[in-house]
Amino acid sequence: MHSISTGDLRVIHIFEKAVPMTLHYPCNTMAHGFARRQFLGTLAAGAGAMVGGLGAFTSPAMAAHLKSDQKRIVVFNMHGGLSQLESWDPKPGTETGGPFLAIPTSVPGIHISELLPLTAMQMHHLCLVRGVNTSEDDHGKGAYLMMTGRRQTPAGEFPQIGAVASKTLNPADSSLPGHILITPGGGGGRGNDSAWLGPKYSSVQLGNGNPPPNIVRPDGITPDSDQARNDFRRKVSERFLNRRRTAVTEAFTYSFEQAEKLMNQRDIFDVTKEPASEVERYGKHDLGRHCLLARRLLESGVSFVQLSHSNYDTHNENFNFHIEQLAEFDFAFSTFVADLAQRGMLESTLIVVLSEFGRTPNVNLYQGRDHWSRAWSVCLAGTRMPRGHVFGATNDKGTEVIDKQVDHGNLFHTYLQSVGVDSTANFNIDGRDMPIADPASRPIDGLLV
Amino acid sequence: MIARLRSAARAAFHMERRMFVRLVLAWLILPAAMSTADEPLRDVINRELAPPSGTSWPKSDDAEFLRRVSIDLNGMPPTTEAARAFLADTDPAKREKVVDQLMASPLYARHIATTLDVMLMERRPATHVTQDEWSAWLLKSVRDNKPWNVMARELMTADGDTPENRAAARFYLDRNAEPHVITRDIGRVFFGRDMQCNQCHDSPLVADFLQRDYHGLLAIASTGYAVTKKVAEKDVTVLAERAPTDLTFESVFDKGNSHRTVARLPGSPSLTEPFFYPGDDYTVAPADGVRAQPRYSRRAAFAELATNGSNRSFNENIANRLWAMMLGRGLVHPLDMMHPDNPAASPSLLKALGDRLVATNFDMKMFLREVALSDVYQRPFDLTNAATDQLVAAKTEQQQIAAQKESLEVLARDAASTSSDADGTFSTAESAMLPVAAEADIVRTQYTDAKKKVDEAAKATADATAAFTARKSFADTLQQAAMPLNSASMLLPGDAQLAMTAQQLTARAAAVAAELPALEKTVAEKTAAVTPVTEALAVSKGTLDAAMQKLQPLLEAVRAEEVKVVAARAAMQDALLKAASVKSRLAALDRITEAGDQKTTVAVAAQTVVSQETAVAAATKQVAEYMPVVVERTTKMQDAEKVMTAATTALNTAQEQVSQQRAALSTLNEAVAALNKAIEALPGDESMASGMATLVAKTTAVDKAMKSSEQALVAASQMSAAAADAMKAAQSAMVEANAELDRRQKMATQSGTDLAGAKDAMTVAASAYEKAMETIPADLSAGFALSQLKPLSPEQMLWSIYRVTGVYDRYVAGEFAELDKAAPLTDEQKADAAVMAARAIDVEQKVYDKLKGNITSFVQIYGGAPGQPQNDFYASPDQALFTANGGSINSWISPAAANSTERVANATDPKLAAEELYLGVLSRLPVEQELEEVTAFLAARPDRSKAAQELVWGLISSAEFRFNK
Repeated sequence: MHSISTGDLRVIHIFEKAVPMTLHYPCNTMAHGFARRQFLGTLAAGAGAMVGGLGAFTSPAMAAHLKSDQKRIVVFNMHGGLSQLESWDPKPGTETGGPFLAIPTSVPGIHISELLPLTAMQMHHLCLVRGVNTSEDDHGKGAYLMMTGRRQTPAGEFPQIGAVASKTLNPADSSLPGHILITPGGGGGRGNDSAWLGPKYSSVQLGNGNPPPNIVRPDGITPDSDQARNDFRRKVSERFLNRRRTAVTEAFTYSFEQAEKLMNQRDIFDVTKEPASEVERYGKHDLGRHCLLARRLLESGVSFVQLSHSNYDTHNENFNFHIEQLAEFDFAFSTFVADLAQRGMLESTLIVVLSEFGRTPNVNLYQGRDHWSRAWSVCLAGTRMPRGHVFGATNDKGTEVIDKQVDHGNLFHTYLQSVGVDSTANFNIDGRDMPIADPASRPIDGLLV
Repeated sequence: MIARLRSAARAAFHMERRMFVRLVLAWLILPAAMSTADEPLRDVINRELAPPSGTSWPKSDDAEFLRRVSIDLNGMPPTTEAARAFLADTDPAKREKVVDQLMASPLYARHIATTLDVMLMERRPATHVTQDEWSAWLLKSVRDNKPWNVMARELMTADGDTPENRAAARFYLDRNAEPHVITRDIGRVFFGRDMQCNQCHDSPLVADFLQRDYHGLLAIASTGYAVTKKVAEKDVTVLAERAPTDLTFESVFDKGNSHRTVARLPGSPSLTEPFFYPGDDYTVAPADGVRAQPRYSRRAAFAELATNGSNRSFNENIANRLWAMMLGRGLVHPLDMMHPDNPAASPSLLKALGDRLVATNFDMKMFLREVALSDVYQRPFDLTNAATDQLVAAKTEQQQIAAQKESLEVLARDAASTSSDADGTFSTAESAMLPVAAEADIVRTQYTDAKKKVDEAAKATADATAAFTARKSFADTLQQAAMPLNSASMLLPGDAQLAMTAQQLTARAAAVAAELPALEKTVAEKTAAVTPVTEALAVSKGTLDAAMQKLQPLLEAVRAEEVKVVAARAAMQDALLKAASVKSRLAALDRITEAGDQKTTVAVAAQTVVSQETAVAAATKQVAEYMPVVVERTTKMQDAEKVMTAATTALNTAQEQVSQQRAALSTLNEAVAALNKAIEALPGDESMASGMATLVAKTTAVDKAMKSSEQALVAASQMSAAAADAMKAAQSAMVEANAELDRRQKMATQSGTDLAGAKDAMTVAASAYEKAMETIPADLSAGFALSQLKPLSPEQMLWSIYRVTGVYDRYVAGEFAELDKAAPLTDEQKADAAVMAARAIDVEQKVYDKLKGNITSFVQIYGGAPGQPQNDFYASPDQALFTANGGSINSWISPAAANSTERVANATDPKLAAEELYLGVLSRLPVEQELEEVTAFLAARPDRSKAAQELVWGLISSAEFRFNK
């Protein structure tokens, strides 16, 4: 374990309690400074409890599969465009820095925004890529290139990272969907995100964390009846397939077995099966529940889970919004990272925190920040990623990348390389070679360990 | 020398070809007998895809055929009644009859329209044109059996600006007229060529897909663009068209080496297009909210050239796609990868099909009907024993094909080198043309600028003149108004107000009049300014004409070379296609004949096992048969031994006696000699003399006895020798018998070992055969000797479930009843086929509209993503969960109005229940095992209604239902 100074803990704990408050203040005023100092002062006594909390994880007994070689990816999509300045790459005290301070983290010398105090304590697991330049300030196009690693072209779609992960990482015999999106709203069903990889690798969308549709046997059908009709189905199919068997018929037969297994495993979609204390630890808000669900899914062997946290598109009141949004995120995310580390899952899981772009260093008239793709950050953690590391840098005002610039293509390659996929190889789709990642791009040099 | 070899090879090839034409029934490739236009198409199909010579191939059974053709032509299986009637029908022409019935059903148009919809739009959302408008156009087109080339032309040229062509404009509009999307999809959908990669370079994977083909199409696609205009206060997006321009492009692999193309479609030379001076090239010039129309429409020219039957790719693409609609797989597969490296299962058939479509004016209905009635369509889906027995016969064909392979490859290499030479000459001509064309572009731009200046000057003159005229007319009006006022003022000199007004007006008139000279001067200036720019334009026009004149012969030279390139390439494609096709067919035949050989090996091994088993039985029998001889001889031997023992004992006894007697005699003789000596010493001694007499008598007696004993000994000795001989004989007989037994036993053991070996060999052969057979059904069905397992499309899945659960026909009955009530038909009308057909169409539409709501969810579950290819099959657990736990299917299988569930539930006899079940859901009668299964099921599940639902569900969710076999 990395040692954590008491000073850091104090900051962290205090801010945790400060979260429910919505602060309305103009930037850099005394009121802000006062509020911060006050928080620092009042709750120092809680620090011990926090340490205790860290050691009091529920026993990670169910992480038995961690020994397996299967790699997984979890993506946090900070929808709308997370401000790098209020998160991974703060520039306090500069004209672009905004009102918040940078705080020390569990890794000496690395500072992140004070809006992420709990995450700061997990810095020793994280790797911040601060030199991202994607040159795309449109939401849709920005999201597209971050998710597919390629710029949108009119004539063709590309599969998203989840579809690629599902195809390359999900064991062939897995009954679980390999590509899961936990979406903030309701709804559900299948996403349209696998392009030429085909619908088999499309996301299964869990609207607001609800289980996939049709996973529960309807009341009108007794288990007994279901058993009888399935036995009959099997006999009929088997007789037919004895006459002609193809890869396609095998897939069809198997889909029913998968469905059956999935029904038996449906609890993995149900966070209420977690002890109340776990729910408490992750936070009772949606993101907390979703993170807990993501952990359950990854533990059960799902290859790819994507969560969304919405909405960071803060053209107005950037700072207030980030206080609220990041408070939720910080609470849930830090617990998630710590849990995965505790359970040994970081060795086999890649965590990616991304957005469609960052936000302008310049603060506009409405205390907002606009779209900014020229210099922003992505946070990574887990398999093959250096721990407690910062890669690349922006200049003092955060307006330009000055060291180790990377783009969406490099990142996409790197995600795949980190989970053991040769991103420079091709998929063979229907006899055609389709590059797994943009062949014009390449993995980030010197990042992976 | 090489040339001579080649021509010899060619001659040999042609000889062979002539011989094979009659011999080789091609599943094949061979540029076989040309089909004549009046030969039924089904015969052409049967001939081109005949099974290997010397074999006959079974047909699918009636039930299999009926379900297959119903789903392929109507999108759903037959009703129970229709299936029962068809199976009972003894008319030998019943298959033809049912095809015609299906094609007369309103469901035919519905299903084909749906299939064309998916093919053309790939489930893109309907944004600019509603799905209803679009479906209605497709439906009507199919119902009227509109020729495919007419449909295609409408799709390629529609602008969406009139109600008539609004629907057809969807192909462009719902792709947002994005040039690259249109280019890719025109290439795929109309020419069977996915040239997506060729946007940036010649395809590294497909030698035949060229960047210039892509850009030739792009030059067409990019002339269309979407424009939103106001029609009756509403925004309507229509397709405007630009005046054509040339495209330049370069390969990312060969930067700096630029090429130039006008419009061109795959397999044709560039379009020859008229020249218009810039600014003079539109009938409606582009502007915001205006549908621009050029004087020359490149789209229209392209559409004409593509669809007039002269473009082989266009013709064969639709032949291949219609074929795939019926057979579940294109002759070329994937459908959008038509190129020589991916040859058709039979290129000659594909060509014949394309030619036939042209000859029949692209009559799709005729085409589908002929395909449905071909033997090839009616082949079984599984490999029966009758069929596997014939695999080895493929050897004949294999040898024939192998013989052609090499000569075809030589031809292909020749053609490729000719084509490459043509490419070189073309490049030279193109290089000469490019700089001149670039100059012409500059001159054209200069002309455009000059023209713009003239237009501006003319406009300025017109504006100035207008300004002058307006001011002048104002001044005149003022003057005219001032005059009477002045007169009046003079008449009424005391009226100061009037005087002032008159004065003011006069002053105003004078002031305005004073402005006029300046304005007039401006007019003069502007007019003067027109002259130099007009002169400049004339000069520019001269320059442009000169440039065009210079360019024209170069363009013509390029085009002349291009014509040669196109011809050479077509010849090369043809040659490559034949060679590749022979090669892939040969590979399949190698596998097929190998499997045939394996099967023979298995048969031989099985024969060996049988003969070994016979041998084992015979050898065992021989051992058993010989056993008594061995026993008898052993007994004899034992007897002889006993005799021998007795004889030996007797001999020994006799020898003993003789020895004793000899010893006694010897002693007696010694005693006589001693007594004689004594008598000599004491002669006359009486006692000694009498002793002597006794002694002599004794000796004589002993001697006699001994002689007798010796005789006995001789006899015993003889007996013993005889016994020894007898024993020796018996022994040798026994040894002989044992040896024989041993031989026979060894033979038995050997044949046992041989049997085991034969059995092992049999196992090995059987498993080798099984392994070889794994790929054979796929090979056979890729060559259409077996039918494909065709997964139902999302729509077929939905409508099939609607049909077998009775939902569909319940709605049909309901709609008919309602119509009969609302608009009863007279008997006369009922006798009128046209009226009845119209009513059927009406009902079909009404039922469709009521039931179509579920299409979306079935497409979502079973279909591909919008804009992606839709014919890839996949199976996922969410589909299985939808079947198992979803509300739709579980509610449709409830017993209702004589649907299968109710019939099964109400059947008194389990056998009848099974029949209703299988006929209703799978359109066939159950086999014995299935009857037993259903009987047992019903016995175990006392709740009849529930049990019936379980059974119906079991069949609907089975693989046999999911696939059209």
